[in-house]
Amino acid sequence: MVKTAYKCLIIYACLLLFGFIATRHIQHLLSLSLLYSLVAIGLVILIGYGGLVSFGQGAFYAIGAYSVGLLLKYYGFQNAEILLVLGVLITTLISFLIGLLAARTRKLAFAMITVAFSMIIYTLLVKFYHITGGTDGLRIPAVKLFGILPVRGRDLFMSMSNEYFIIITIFTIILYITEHVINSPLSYALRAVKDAELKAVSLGISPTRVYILAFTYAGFLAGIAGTLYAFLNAHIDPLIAFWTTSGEFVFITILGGITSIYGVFLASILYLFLKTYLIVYTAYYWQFVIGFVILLLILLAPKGLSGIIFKVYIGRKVFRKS
Amino acid sequence: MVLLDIVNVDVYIGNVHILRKISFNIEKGEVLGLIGPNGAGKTTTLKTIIGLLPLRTGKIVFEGEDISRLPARNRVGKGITYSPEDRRLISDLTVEENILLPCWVSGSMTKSMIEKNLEIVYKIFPEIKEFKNRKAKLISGGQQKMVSIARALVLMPKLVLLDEPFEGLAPMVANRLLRSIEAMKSLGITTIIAESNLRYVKQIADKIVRIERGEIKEVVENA
Amino acid sequence: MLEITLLIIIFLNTLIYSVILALISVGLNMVLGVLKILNLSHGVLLAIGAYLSVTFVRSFLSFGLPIYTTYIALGLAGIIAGIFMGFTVEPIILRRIYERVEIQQLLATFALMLILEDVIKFIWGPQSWMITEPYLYLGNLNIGGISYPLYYVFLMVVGYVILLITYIFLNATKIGRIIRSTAFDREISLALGVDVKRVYTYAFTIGATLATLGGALIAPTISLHPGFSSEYIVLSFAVVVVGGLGDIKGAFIASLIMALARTITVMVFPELELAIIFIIMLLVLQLRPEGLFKGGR
Repeated sequence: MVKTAYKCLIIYACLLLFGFIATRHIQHLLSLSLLYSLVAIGLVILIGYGGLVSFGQGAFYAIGAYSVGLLLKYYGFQNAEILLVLGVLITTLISFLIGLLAARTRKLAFAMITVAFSMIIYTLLVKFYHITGGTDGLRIPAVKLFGILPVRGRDLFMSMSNEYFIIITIFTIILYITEHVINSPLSYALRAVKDAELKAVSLGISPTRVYILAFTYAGFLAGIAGTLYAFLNAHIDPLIAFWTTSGEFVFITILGGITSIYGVFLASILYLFLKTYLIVYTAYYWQFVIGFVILLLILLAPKGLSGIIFKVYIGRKVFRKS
Repeated sequence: MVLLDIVNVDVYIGNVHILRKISFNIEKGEVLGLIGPNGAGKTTTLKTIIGLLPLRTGKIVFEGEDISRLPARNRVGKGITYSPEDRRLISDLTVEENILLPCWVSGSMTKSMIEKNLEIVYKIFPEIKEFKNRKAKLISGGQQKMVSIARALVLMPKLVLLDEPFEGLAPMVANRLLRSIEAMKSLGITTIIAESNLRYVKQIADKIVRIERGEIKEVVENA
Repeated sequence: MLEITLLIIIFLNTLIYSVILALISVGLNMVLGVLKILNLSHGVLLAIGAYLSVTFVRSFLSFGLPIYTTYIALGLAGIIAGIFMGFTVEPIILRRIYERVEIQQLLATFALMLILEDVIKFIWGPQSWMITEPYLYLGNLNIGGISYPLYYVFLMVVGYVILLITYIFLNATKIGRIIRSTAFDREISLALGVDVKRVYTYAFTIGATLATLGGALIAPTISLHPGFSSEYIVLSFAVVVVGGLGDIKGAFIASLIMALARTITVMVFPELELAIIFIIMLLVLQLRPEGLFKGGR
């Protein structure tokens, strides 16, 4: 585990260093990428290890963000750390409850349950506009962390922005924890269930319980990402709960190779930078380019980015179902 | 005259080697019994002949033409049909719709041809007429078996592949099926019957091919 | 008297909403049943039908044709869009992913959705479009003092006729029954000589045409803007789940149930208008994951 700690420290050091030199815009984009990676890391556990495709992570992302927004607006919580903890707690609790429902189903039914859930959240956010601000969304003021550090601004050294600093710090901690989760009995149980559910049951593993845990953990990660997103973006709207946002998360996970948390880390960065600059240069047509890339990847390199590397360096094996 | 000649055929499912250098042939008008225990490769052999499974090496020659690479529907067009072990009727369609399905698919049959063939099929299996308008899922297993065979016959094929036609049939029904196969034979239809049990096949087959673990063990003429 | 008026309006609203849901979902479910692919881009097909209707109706009117011909324009647009999309998307893209694992299929159709949405923006621009002529031309119906746009009734009747034709096609024609047999058992259909590739193209085209016709029918009632269809696709997921995956008749009945639930919810608790549909979906997935009406096969 010392190795993991070093790995995380090196990543943290690199991210910190980057914060000193990058422009605020780049830092913002990178922060957003890290939030996306958090969600996608949850999906690595769920899809990559568990074989369950959730098209509803956007909902947990939104619940995290809206917990912060609503607690701020209606209950006047001004401490970022309390908002963060509460937001994550609420999201984790809800994902546990949804996990109870979803963990009994598999495959398409599981995907459908998560879609249904995220659409319920989306429509509630839109229709209860007198509370949630509807499609206009909510504004999030720059509350302070531990009473000193505003969640947005430039109160740190050199070009480092507060939000970037907060996000990379939390990201690194979560990365470290997740490394442990991946080497824990939970992840082995998950893989066992994915490969041969009946066999796993005969070994005394309860698939439902394992899936609930995995789902809750994925929701927990999406919740952290969502709360931080509220701080980072200053404005939140219901679109983050729409099923297409969840589709983006799934895409990033697959782009990253499904089973690699560092793969999805790179994939998120690649995806968000690509998307942002495509919007800048092609205005309306970024979706076309992204869709085209996805399609090409699937048709030519079905194993994601690592699949391309595999293909180029190792062989021309095309992965198929049977 | 040799109707179907199977020459050194190897078949894999995934990476598993199922059929190993299979060779046998069948004369026109013969009834051939393909006998072997479960898992010996009987179903694989039939599926390879009809074109549902690709062969890796060897060839299948039908009426002097190599059909090894033809898709299933072209093999059907050449006059080979198949009745699978588990019947596989389309349960939402009626019995008669099930039987007529191959005619509709072929597209080249006139209405009178279809009617004529249907008459012949009903002559071989008269009892089907009684429940021809019921949904396929509502008839008994034995009846489904007959319908599945009738479906394979309606095109008046040159070669019929029957997978375990006697399995699970009551002795009386099985005996009637024997008479039906004889009737088919008298129409000049060549038949391959895959069975694990020699009991019925022995009464009707001209030739018996024994298959075990994907290999042909022996070929004997049945007197 | 007022109660009767209310009942009539609930009845009409339900039928109208259900026909829209059914046109999308029956098509989606047919594609799912035959091709075994959940086509996430199915909603965009609806949008393409709607946008092409705008073009057709506009050009009919600009040629100086009378307004009643715009109904022909709508029908033409729906059919042409469906056939064109069917015979391009399936052979060019979907055919390459039949052997792939589920998640790649989902992602591929997701990508297709993104691409087609931008193709719409490329052709019709990012602005909103409206064609109200066919809608206004029919005027209003008076139901117990409440005026009700007659176009909705027209939409409903035409929609049901389309669904009826589809039903007859699948149950009484040769090709229809071949499509059903392929959906039920692909392997045995192959062994019976079915040209499965062609059946896939046909089934996809029919499914697509139902969606594009649905789009053409609703085009005069809404303002079209990029991305408007992504809501319809999730709605039809819900319908398809409730009716049973691949079950065409189930999708039709589920459309009615969902439409009724929505109509009533709009009156009782408008905030839950759309949520109710997904709540029903969630409940059905919990209690009867095979759909409400399994036993079809």
